[in-house]
Amino acid sequence: MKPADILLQALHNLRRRLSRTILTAIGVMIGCTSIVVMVSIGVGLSKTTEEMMAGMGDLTLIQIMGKADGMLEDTDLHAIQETPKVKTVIAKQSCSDFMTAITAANSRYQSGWANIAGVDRDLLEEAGYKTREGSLNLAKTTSAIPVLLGQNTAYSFRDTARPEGQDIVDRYTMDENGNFTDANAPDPWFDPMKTDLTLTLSNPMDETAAPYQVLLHPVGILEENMSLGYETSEGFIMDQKDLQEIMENASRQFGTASPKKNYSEIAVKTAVMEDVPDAEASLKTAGYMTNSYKSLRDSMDEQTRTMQLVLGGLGAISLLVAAIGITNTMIMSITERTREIGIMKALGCRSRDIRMLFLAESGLIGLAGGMAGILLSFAISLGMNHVAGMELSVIPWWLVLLGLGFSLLIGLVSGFFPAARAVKIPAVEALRQ
Amino acid sequence: MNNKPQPIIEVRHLRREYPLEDDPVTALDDVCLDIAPGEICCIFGPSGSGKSTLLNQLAGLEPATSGAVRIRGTIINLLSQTQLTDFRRQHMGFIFQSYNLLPHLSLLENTALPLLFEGVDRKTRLARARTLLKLVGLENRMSHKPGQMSGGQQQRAGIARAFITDPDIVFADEPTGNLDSKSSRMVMELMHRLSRQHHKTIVIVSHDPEAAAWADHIITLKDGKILEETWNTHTAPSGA
Repeated sequence: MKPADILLQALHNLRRRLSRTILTAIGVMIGCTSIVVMVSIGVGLSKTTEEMMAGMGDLTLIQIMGKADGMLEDTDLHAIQETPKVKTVIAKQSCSDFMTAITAANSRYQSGWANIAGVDRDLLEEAGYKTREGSLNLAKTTSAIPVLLGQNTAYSFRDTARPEGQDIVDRYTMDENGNFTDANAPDPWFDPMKTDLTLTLSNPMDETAAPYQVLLHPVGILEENMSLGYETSEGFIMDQKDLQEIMENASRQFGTASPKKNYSEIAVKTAVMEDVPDAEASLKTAGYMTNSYKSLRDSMDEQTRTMQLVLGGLGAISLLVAAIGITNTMIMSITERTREIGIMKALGCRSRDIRMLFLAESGLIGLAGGMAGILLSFAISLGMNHVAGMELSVIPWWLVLLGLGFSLLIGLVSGFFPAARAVKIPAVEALRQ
Repeated sequence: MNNKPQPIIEVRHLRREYPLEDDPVTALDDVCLDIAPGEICCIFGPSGSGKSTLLNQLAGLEPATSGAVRIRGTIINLLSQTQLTDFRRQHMGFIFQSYNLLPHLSLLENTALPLLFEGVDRKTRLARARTLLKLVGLENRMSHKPGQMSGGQQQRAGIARAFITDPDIVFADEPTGNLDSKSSRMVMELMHRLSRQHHKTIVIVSHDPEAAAWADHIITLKDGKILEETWNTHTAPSGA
């Protein structure tokens, strides 16, 4: 028989028992739909994760937030630098031993408890700091200490010339959905790029002691990036050496011991992303508390994969049930058509053609169910995304092919045993009365 | 007859047992016979005489217990199942007692079935089926389904189907068994005419003496053995 004739005959035979064919195909449709929808949720999840990760930033970065037994000090800095696969170490020094306040325009504008950190000025760019205004260049040009302000630092100043309650610029307005937003924030009281600031350090042990004051010169406004620290939002960053000098001068004035260098955070960069797991493992072994996007990402990837496997497995079980349905239908059909098969054989139909005919019938049931399943999956996917208001389920082209291919395969595999049975029916069946 | 042609079917010491538990049945016992090309041969006998078994053996539908059947020089007992199927399709046609037309196909498609299995393209096979159906007088019924036809008409379509591949031998298993006498006569006449016109060998299995009367060569079986072999000298009982 010609292949086209086999297909036509198979279609004809399926049409003869249309309701049974449809019911069996519905089984495949449900199986195919569940597998496609399940996998599509997995794909949607991993896409969402992917997008979230892309916004997170540097994958070669490992953050060290602290140590099991105490503060991060210079000895730690050296130890970390010696760790294999560590390329750059960016330490952020804190100014924790003093009470700090910053004022502007002859103390008209005041901001207490200023959040000040010192970072090696040569490493700012590599660490990922970005400016919205000005530059990252903290090289000293005047006697004033160059400083970078956080994106919203200017809003932390009170205007002492205004009555209490009206002395802070309210950044937030209500948008049409009733959510607070700072998209339409009014300008702060003053332009920090054009205003020199005064940093005041007080002795926390002796409030009567004369405070130490130093002039700050803003050179840039940073872009807010919480992964680099709160300073990028509402704080100040200066060169680590400048901060160290300020603190030493203040200690001298207060007559207290020179403060120990404390690092609030040490960021480590590796040359390539692949070095992160090794370096992070060594640091963890050395007792540091670390965090990296790579490890976070790996664990999320792992979760997504597991989810996809579990969901896909559920779909596979329903396809298996559908496969049993096809086998059952085909066996029933062959039992009914025993005589017909005998006649076909007596009239010279080859066993191979009979096998192909029955495989074509079961394959077509699978394929039809698969096609219906794909359509249904798209409908369900659209509905889910509409209800969820996000891309919960994504059906890429390869999933369509996978669904169709799997359904066809299920049909063929389910038809295998019944077809072998059909082939065994002898031609002499045609002569039985 | 000295210039007797080479037989188209030769049967030698054919034996067929059905291995039933405890009591094996011998359906054919040492049967030897020759059938000449172009001959209408009737295998005659009551039910249980082994005539259906003999037909199955001649057509290669069942394996023999021992002995051999040679058709056109080929010992069919030596062929594999696939070779047998091909051999049947190329050299044999079949006519069945219950017609065995497929109920879901039209007469035209039913008639063309052997050519479909052969792999002939649709246009050619339907054209040939049309010619054959005209030959058996069913040109107005081609798109009818078997269920819409009388037994005689169905059997005529069955005959058209048997002849469509231009076989050397047509086997007919009780072709008139389900028909009234008028239809029976028409069917026998048709087979007789086709055999004579196209020089086809026809092997008919029947228990009906009227059908046997159309044959050139009558082999009577009893209890699996050949009881007698007779040759008719007249052409046809009606003189048609």
